[in-house]
Amino acid sequence: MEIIGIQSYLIISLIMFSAGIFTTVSRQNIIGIFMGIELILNSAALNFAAFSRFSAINLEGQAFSIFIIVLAAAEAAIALALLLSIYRRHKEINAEHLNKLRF
Amino acid sequence: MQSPEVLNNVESLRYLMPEIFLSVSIIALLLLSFFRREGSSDIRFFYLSAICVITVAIFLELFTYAGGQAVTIFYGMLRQDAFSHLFKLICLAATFLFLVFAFTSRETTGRSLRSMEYILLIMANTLGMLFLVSSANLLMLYLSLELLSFTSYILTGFVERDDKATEAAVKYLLYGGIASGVMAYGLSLLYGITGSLDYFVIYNYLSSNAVSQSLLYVSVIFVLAGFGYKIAAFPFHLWCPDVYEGSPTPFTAFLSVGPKAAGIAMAFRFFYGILLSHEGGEVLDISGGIEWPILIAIMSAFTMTIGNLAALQQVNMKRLLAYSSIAHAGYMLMALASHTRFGINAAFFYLVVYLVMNLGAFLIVIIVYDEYHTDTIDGYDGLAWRGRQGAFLASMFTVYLFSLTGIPPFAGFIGKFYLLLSVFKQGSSLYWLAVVAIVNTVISLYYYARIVKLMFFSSGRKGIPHPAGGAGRYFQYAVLTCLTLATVILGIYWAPLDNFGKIAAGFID
Repeated sequence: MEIIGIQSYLIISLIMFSAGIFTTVSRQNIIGIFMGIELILNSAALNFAAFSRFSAINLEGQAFSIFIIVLAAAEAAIALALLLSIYRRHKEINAEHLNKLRF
Repeated sequence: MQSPEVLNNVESLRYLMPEIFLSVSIIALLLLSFFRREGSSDIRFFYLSAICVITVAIFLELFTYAGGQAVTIFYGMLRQDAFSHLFKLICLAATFLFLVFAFTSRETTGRSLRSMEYILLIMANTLGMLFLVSSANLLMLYLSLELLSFTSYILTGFVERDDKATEAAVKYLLYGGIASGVMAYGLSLLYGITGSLDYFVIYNYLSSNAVSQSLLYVSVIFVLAGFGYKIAAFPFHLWCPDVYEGSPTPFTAFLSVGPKAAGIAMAFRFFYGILLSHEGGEVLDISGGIEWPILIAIMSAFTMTIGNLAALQQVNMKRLLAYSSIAHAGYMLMALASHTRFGINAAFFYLVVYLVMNLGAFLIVIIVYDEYHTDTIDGYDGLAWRGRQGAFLASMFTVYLFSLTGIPPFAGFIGKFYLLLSVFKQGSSLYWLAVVAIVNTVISLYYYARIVKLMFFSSGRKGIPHPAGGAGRYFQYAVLTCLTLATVILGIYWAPLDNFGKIAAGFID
């Protein structure tokens, strides 16, 4: 019997997921919010890898987690490009500045 | 869904002609753009070549389906059947009309949007939609959803040094990132429960094994977050008005139809493909043991109510149409909640009708913005009295607005009738949803009719002459006339479209 079973992975990924959701709703800084999103994505990737290792018969899940990592990198590139254009404007990146569009 | 005939990579290629052609064209145009300098004539060349590419892709799509055989290609990654072909045609039509709008609009051709990348990104976006509607594997679903989302973020924030556009893009990205992350977590739970990413294997597993109900509920709700965000359904609709207002109007028009069609198709494939038993009569039985239709029904009721109530107090036309599109997403969810065979037919029918009338309404907004540089509702004050062209625009807009409300004899009425019929076919358990939809139609009449009243019965700015028509105006009016004719004709003679819908509904057999 293995000491580190699937439960350990699932608990860690659940903690990461909750921390990510909490970060996204509590942060003011946009980079902070984005770090929360990364936590959520990585918790999903960890889940996929763990399920693939312990319960499934194939490696589909591990392939999925690699794709999640790649997509997270692509998303970060887009986010940083947008943040740079906000930074040039306001000299800081705070979600409070995003208030032009409202009714 | 009978045991699918799974093809390997080489055999699959000939069923993927439109996508391959689109990918090759994107790369070719990208290479070509390195050798040409930016200029006014060049951008016309690129717009025209993009329009040609999309036209050829539409024809390839038609010929690919000519065989009529449903196939599962690339070892189960994609499924090409009547359903995916018809929804792909809707997505391609939306892109085609977007390119026509953007080509003729001064808003996009006159500013920093003349660069080549804008067109390449919109084509990549289309590619994402094409893969999304035919994906039959959770990995493919996630990848194509992200291809669609990422390109949309960039396209929204494409205008340089525009605070509104950048803000809209950041909001879109943050909401989208959270929603897709939550969805990925939900997909991982589904993978953990069933041990596979393939729709067909998951379906077989769920219909033959007893699984943990609570875990399946959590995973389905998380997946709903991703897809609810894509079609802007409550409670994931918050990005929608901001993004619609902040992005260039032709792109707003595209966003309100293309990704919504792809999102609805993806939801049908996911929920009908995995969580419904494929045997049985008109009303399909739920497989896997969780009551997901009631979740969708509640989502649908809230979406349409909130969309319509928020639309009542808007002063900006793009925001108003944004809330109206949220309400229409709510109507379309009724078909999904009904879990009947007829629901697929109704959703397809409504999407085609919605494409025609909503893009028509947005084309009016584009023309009015070009002429008067206003997108507030007050800017439409007395539009009907501003010369012949003003009268033309106002009467066309009236047709679209009444069709969006669902007043006969326009196509919107038939579409809404089909959606209600799908709910009634389900039986008495969803009658309350039909009542909510009818009440909402009455609410929406108020704000649509208010615009009509403002255009015709207000003389506040009477006598302001319509500016002289420049190049491209007459082309826009021709497109407008075609869309209006389609709106009226589909309201009177809709049998052909209904037949296509019936073919699409065969995908679950």
